[in-house]
Amino acid sequence: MDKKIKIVVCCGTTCHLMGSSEILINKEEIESQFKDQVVISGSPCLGKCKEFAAAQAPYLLINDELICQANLDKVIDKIHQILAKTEE
Amino acid sequence: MKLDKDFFIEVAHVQKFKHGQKVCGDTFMSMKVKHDKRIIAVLSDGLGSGVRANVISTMTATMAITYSANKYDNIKAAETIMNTLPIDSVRKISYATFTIVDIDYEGKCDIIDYDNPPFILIRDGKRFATPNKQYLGNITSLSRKYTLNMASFKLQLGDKLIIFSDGVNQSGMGSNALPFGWGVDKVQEFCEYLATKYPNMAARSFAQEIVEYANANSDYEPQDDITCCVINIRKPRMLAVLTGPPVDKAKDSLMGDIVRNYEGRTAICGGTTAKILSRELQRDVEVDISTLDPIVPCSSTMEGVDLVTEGMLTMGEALKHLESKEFIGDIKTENGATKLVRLFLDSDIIEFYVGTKINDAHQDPNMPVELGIRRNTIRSIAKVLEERYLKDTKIKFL
Repeated sequence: MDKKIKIVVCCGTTCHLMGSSEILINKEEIESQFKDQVVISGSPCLGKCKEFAAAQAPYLLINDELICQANLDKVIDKIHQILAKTEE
Repeated sequence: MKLDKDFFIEVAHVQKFKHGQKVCGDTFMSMKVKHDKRIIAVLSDGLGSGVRANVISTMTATMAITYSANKYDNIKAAETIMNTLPIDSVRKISYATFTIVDIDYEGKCDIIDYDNPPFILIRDGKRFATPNKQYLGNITSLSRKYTLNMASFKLQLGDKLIIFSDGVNQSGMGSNALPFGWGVDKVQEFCEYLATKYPNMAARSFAQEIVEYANANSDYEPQDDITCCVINIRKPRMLAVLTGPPVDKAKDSLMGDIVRNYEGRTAICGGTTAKILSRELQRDVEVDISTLDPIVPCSSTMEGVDLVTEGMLTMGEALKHLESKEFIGDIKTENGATKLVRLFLDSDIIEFYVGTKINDAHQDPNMPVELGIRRNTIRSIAKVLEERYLKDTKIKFL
């Protein structure tokens, strides 16, 4: 596969409080688990907490798709889904 | 303390306690007298060490600074201080030294010194001898004679004034290397060396260097409290802090102009603000994940901007650091808040450009932490920077 999966984690106030750093702390594990098919980066603020409710935070983008109430399980499931699709 | 755009008085001090003591027997205080356009700094060294010395020196410094601020006669003030201090039960004297430095916004400087080591004025990398006067006093009620050293001179751009307690020049006394201590002459040589090698060194770092040297002289177990105060006269270092999105979207471009044209350093505090400026300036923001911290969100980098951080949490944490008693140089953690604090302390004039738009999500009751209102946090930061760190601050709301 030549195209890497891009994950952008929101580092804004709301998302940080709601636990977005969980994904950033595990950045290296996630990236190595998927043998560098995944790139995780941060964004100062995705601005989603103004569009939706703060309770839906933390937000992140996986290949430009918005994930609400993101946590480690959700992210890993989503990566598996995308990988399964590309393999088909 | 601003005289005009090219002349700034920076005051900083560093202390090290006597080995094994939990409080310092030396007291340093400084004050801005805004209505009189003066700055006053006082260093007092109490007899002995520990709590007793701390009490005596605190009393002395407080009295001295209040008398000076109110332009009370110096000699009367000195005698009142000596008369007021409690008498030591062992040595049967009441005693604390003091040095009072009074500088006005035009650079006129008056120094009154009682029993502290002589101050050092460094001009063009060399010690500059100032005309000193001596006053011999006598307190008949205590049957005590005393000598006040008084100096009056004009400060120039680039001058450094160094005041220290005897813990500095007597450091290492009794050791094989320095049987008579470091000595005022050696301290002077060291100051000249520092001033020549690092002419732009911040007052805080300068004082830190001297205190560390004195500490090393006594094998890191100082036998007396060490205090050094450095007053720097130089061009002001400017810092613009942009935080919060403006209420009116049309003002976004104004924020862009500020960053583009600012003569000094710039900092951006706030995720949304960073996004706005990234769009206005067409520069990318990159989050630096290596600065991950449990309390403070990651800081970022942007070309041409010295620091980009998250907003409310970082500023709240920075305020906590500024208000705490802990010496900022001792804080080892590296995160957005400590970086911001260091940037504040390495600047003289700090201008806050505050967008007042409120992020509704921050006020959502579902949030696990209560977030303050940006305006109030900025006001508190500006207040502590003015009062405790003698910075010049301006707040502009957008």
